[in-house]
Amino acid sequence: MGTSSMTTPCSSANVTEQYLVTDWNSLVSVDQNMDFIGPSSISSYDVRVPQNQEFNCSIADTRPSSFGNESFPETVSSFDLSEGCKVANAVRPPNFPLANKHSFEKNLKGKKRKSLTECGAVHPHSSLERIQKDISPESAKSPTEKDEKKQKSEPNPGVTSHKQAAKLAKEDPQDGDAPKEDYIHVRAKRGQATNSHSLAERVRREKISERMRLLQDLVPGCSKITGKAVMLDEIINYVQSLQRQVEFLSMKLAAVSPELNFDLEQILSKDIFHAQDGGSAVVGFGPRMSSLHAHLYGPSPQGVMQSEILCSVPHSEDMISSSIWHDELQNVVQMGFIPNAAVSDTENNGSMKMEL
Amino acid sequence: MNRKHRTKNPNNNKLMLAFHFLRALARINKSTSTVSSYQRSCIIKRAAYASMAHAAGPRRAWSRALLYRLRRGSSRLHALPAIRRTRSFSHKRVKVASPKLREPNQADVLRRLVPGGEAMELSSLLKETAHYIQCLSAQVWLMQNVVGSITS
Repeated sequence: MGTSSMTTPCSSANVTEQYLVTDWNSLVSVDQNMDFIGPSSISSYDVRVPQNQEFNCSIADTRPSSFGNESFPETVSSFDLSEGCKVANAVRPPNFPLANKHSFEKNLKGKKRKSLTECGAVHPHSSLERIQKDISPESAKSPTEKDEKKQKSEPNPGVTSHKQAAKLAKEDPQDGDAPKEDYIHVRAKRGQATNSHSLAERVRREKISERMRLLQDLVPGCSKITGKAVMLDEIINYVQSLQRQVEFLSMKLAAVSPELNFDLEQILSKDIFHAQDGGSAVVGFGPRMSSLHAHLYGPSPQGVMQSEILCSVPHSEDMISSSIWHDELQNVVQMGFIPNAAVSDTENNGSMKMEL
Repeated sequence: MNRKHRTKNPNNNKLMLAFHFLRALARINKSTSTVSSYQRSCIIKRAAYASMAHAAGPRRAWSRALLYRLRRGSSRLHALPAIRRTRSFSHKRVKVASPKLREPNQADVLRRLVPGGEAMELSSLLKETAHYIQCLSAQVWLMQNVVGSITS
């Protein structure tokens, strides 16, 4: 619509022109638009303002309300009403009946607007970036919002009569200054998201989604699922399966372990003492290399482990962990080894050699 | 077995877990040689959960709840007694303010699965669940290895 060609002095007026041009395309002919572009029309109409006060007022009402349908928050937020009056008047005098007809649809909005302003009143005090963002690039967002709000208004037209519209049109300009400020807040209504309650709610939701992401990594086969409900299902299934597995394995152990009775006893009866002063479980496994250990931690050269690894502390973490723990836990356990295991191993070095 | 290791490093948990569990196994094998295998399996299961909870330390809500439940001697580790469930249910209704999920039942199911999660708000429940899953999978891994080493 040639916004670049419009050379009105203030940028806010520029924005309104965009809306005017786009929104009123059906109502206002191109010629009028062209006329209105020039600052002369505005100034000339300024002179006439006192003459038809009422006319002016009604139009002044129609403007925000009619805009209200398409994009009133932006227009109102971007320029103040007096200017808007000028612009609207400049454009619409010939079309006034048309505009007024259009206005009664919007005066529905006018009612809504009032209710919105109540909730919107909270917003300027709280610092919600999203709202500010929404206000500043109006031009970019205007098309979508227009569509959205048109859809809203479409079921409504013709509910209020023309008379009511006219009445409202006369009533509104009296408090024209008061709602004007409120419109700014109306824009933020969609979220209603800035009172402390909803902020806390948002924080909670963020927490939940963050933990969901954490769980996503833990639960296998869950990485591609996005829905929360499905995720929860997966998590529940996984936990249940793990619990069942523990049960099953304990049954298996119970069936099997009597044979192992002697071994385990032998291993642990002595190793517990070591472990207790070492503070690490590795020590418990270190000294005694029974058959259980060999199986548990893989076939490792036992002699090497005992004699050499324990002496060479810096390498011990790697070798112990690589020989002891299987693939999946390796890197994790390596971390765990570093602080405790090395120290305790060196501590127990003497006693182990005694045992050997 | 009741010795508490307050390890800051979560990776020590696996070592502690193995240590606790194997010690418990040895103790069980020593003491309960005459008991039926079902009872043995129950005892071993309890030992597994107890070692898990001990390894996790007292900071976690689930480990505390698990230990409490174990000490009280309730044989059912996961399904709560009926009386308690109703009580905790009403309690939860008060505490948990309208979970946003479409199916609040799922959250309830999860609450029942994770020990100590009955009266928990969703985000902390998820946190506990994450840790619980980690510990459980470590426990399963350990037990699988023990079983594998024994049977092979």
